[in-house]
Amino acid sequence: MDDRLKESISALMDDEVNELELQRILSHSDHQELSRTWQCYHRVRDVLRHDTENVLEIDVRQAVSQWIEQGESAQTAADSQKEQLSASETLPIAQRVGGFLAIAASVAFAFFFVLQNGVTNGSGEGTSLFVGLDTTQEESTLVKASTGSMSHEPRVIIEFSAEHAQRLNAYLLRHSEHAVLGAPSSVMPLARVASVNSVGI
Amino acid sequence: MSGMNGLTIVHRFFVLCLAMLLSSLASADLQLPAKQWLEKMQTAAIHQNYRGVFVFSRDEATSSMRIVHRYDRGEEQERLIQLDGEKGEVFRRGAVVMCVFPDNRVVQVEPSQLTNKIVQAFAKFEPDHHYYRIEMAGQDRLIDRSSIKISVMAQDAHRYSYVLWLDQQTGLLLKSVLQNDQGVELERFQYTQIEFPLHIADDELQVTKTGTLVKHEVIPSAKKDRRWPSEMKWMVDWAPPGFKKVSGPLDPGDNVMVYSDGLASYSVFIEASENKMLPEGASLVGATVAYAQKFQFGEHRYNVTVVGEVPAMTAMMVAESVKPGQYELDDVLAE
Repeated sequence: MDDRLKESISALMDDEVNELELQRILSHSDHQELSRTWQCYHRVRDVLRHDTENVLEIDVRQAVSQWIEQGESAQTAADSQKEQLSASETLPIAQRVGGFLAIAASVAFAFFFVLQNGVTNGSGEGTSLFVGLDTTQEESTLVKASTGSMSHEPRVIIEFSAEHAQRLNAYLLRHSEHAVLGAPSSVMPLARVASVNSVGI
Repeated sequence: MSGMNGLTIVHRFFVLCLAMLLSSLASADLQLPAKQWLEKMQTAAIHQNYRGVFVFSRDEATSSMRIVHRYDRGEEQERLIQLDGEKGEVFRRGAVVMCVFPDNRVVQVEPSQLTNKIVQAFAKFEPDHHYYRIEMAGQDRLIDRSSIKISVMAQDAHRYSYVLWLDQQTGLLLKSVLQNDQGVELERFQYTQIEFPLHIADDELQVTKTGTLVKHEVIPSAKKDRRWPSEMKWMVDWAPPGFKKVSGPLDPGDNVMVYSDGLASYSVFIEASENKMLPEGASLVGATVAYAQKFQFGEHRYNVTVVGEVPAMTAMMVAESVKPGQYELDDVLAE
């Protein structure tokens, strides 16, 4: 499972998830690794909240689907159920997830960062690509890479390796060759390529 | 003396008539519907000779570029020179695109598989009113030239909106602003200087650097070979309304495909998974998204990347709809 998906799961926990991220989680929700990460994040958070008995076995797919269906109303309902949630382990899944979504503000950036590293190392995968939240955008590299939809500014900046940057450039080049035939002006696709080259990708 | 006066009167009358004629032609042009202006824009982009300087902005980055464009013996030739930072150049001759990078490498993109017939159809392909609301938005003055402003507003969430400024005399696109559904500007293109010479000399279109020619082999070839995944007949089960496949045969097939709605386009790349693939998810550069997604088919892992000027959500939906063509499945599974 890639770092972007882990970021999306964290965003879901923080109630900062956007539609694109939700769809990506849904499309991966059959993966066991996603379920393990989901549970792992909750365990860590519960430890930090001194709520260790609230260990979860949540069906991510069902939870996210319900979240989408209920939309705003799910969140509103979750607010009213927030206090009950912390006291009860027997609430229905949707209510429990709704509650987690409502906890967004209590999860701090530092904690978030620890989580990412902890889970990444624990799974034996490579070094995390995350370099920070949008408060650190001035340190970002040239390409915004995230799961953000167009209506949401990407929250996470991923530092592209030289290989990734080269590959992205290759795709843009090839796409420009295609697009040059159908754009409002043939200049535009070429300008896109030149513009990317000029910033060193 | 009286003869001279007579000539002057005739001359003045001729000038007056010419001015009236030009004026009536110009006002007639203003009466053109927006869609005809778009046709004029497409024709001008191909058939006009022009040279100028433009600014291209996206995200926080802005670049200035010089352009020379010539239409000669049925073929477009174009040269873009980067004016900021290290010098790079992009050349186009017909459908062949070459880039000269600051380190002197010359990269040639694989020649297009698009046939002349498809190219011609593509050039005439126009945005449909079901998907864009196209309206005249008045007149403006840009770089000391009269221009026509046209708004092309997306009617659904699968494409972006454009505001275009066309040169009133030639129809050439002088300025373009691309916006998302929230009205946020993602990309801006604008000439700061333009001229329309009758002739452009060959040397203005010559490459100034001669580096090593590097073939672009990082991304999949559109040419069929016998290896996975290009041996498969690939299917894209979903395309946003109004987008049509404009590359290759219309039946399922290539592992590189191009779709367009007449204004926006996206490319679909299907490759065997490697370590060097883009991270899964959306990578955004201005209005261009590169959405990467890994899949598995039997023992084969493959990677789908959708690159284009469409919203990230649309790119994701396209990527997730890509699958091996049905009639090939038995053969592959039997291996």
